Amino acid sequence: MSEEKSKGKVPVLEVIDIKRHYTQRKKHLTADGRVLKHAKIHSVDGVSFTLNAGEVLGVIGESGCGKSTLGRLLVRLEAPTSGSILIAGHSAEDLIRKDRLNFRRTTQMIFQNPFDTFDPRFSIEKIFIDTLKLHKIGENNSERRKIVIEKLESVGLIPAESFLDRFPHELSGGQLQRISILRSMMLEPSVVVADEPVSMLDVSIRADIINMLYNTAKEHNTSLVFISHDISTTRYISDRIAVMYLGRIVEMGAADEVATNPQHPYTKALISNCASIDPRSKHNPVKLPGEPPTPVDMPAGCAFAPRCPMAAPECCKTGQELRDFGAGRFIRCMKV
Amino acid sequence: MRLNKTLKIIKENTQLKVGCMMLVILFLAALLAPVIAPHNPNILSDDMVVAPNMKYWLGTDGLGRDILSMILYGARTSLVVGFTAAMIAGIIGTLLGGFAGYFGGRIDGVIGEMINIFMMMPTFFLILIVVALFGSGLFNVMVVIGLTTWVGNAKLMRAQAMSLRQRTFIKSAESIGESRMAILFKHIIPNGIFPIIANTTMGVAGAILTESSLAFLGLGDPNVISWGQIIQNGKSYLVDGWWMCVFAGLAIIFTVITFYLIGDGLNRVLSPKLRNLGKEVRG
Ligand SMILES: Nc1ncnc2c1ncn2[C@@H]1O[C@H](COP(=O)(O)OP(=O)(O)OP(=O)(O)O)[C@@H](O)[C@H]1O
Ligand SMILES: [Mg+2]
Repeated sequence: MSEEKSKGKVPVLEVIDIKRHYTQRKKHLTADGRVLKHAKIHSVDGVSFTLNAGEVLGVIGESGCGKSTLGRLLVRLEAPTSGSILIAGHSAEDLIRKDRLNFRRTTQMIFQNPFDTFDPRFSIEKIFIDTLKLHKIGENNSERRKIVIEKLESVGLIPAESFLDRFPHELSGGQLQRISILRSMMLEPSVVVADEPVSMLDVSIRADIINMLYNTAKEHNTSLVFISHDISTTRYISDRIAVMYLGRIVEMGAADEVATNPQHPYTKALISNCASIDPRSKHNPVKLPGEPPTPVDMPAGCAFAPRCPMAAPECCKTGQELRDFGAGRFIRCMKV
Repeated sequence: MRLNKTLKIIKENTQLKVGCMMLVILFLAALLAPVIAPHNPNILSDDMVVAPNMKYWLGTDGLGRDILSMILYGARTSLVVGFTAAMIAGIIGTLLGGFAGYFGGRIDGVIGEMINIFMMMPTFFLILIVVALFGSGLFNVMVVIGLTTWVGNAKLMRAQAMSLRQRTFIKSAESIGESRMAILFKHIIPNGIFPIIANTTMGVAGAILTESSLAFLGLGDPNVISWGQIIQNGKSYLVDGWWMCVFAGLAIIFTVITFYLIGDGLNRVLSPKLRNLGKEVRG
């Protein structure tokens, strides 16, 4: 870590005020009874953060707050509506235009659904060999096969040969997710985005997969963006945590700090509902009134104000800035 | 392994089973026409307008040609025209639909307009005009039928591509670095092709009917024997030579039913299991 820092101040990933808006085709009825024809969905609405080499950033938040959209933007499965993403100081847009394959090697994604991550018609061997061939790793297929077997064995998929001629539907979710992680890691990416990588897996193997992901990332000094609903897992694996609400980061800071000493009322509510972190308030979790709204027709003031137990009239008037509280702590709330 | 599985699927579906048996008969007739035809279909004899008898099982036409032999040889024409035209329509439809559905945006807009235009166009009259202008050689007929009947396939493929592009394995292929073109040909089309296969099979029947209609209107290739042509020649003998039109007509009906049965059977077998087709076939 220390030598990484001395190398220079350029972070591996720098996200500057990115937004992703979708135009809704259906008509949208707003809370106050107006009908919007082409409503804009502010899925990601101004997210900024930086990520250093080897660092793990956890992203948590309720369903629909834009975590997956953010993930897709980071690996450029979609282009942001505005804002920019810098990879080691270079604009992702330029990088992908200049050399698509090289860009794809630097950022990789682990998907939520391992059962659908691979083309059902291809064997595991073909899936790996095609990837290696595409990125010109290995001289010929027998050499590539050797690389693959070595990798499979290193993560406990033994005997590796028996996996090669199987098809995705013949493997378990855990095995598929390991293969997905392996395949991405073979490209030696500098940033990996894992979007709820274990939420579709059996509880008994989740820890194993998370450990494997964590260890392989550490091995290559790869930065990890870990998107999850599970606060205790996120705290365990992350160096820092960012809490998202309606497309924005509302609080960000060191993982333990955020988990044990949440400041933003939304984070407080989120953490208080997670018993394993805060046993004291187990008996009176903060209940948030209402459902998380769809990010259409965003309110002028704080987006969380309508559901916030601490909301004051002025909260609904002016927008909130993500304020720097020192030591890497950022909070978007005027009451703190 | 694969063959066994395929045979089992065919056996379990009545439409497919019957259709495939009829197809075998058709193929044998076309293939073995020179061997099994009792007469040379091109030779004019003195036995004109002879009703079916022991020598001419299905009778003869106004020029003394044996109807049975003409029908056997006509099967070749019908199958060639049907398969070629349906293949052309299948390939064009798959490509255009795939591009539109996967790439979306402006490409989809342009191709969508083409689909709309071709849907509104009276295809048969278009074919008539083209054949009238450019000649009625068999090649022209096949190509023009193919070029005007791809719309159904394009719509099917477009819908397939639009749903496939949401799937994780397509996103995964994108993020691993495959180009959009490679994804279209390697993942989208192979995984979405099954409804097009079923539809193309039915397209064979449509093409055969169209070719017969053209021949019936006198716009067929005069150098080949075709069922539509037999009917066209026979229609002036409808009163005292019913066998000419009837047997050629039955041949057309038989063939059309064959391909409809197979197409429908394929549809039934393939669509509900579309998602785990890999499983089904590989077992
Ligand atoms: N392609 C799209 N078109 C329109 N709206 C979209 C699209 N993708 C996402 N959205 C909307 O953007 C918002 C954020 O979605 P996103 O999938 O990023 O949430 P999430 O935080 O990942 O939720 P979950 O925890 O359920 O996975 C949602 O309101 C969603 O409906
Ligand atoms: Mg999500």
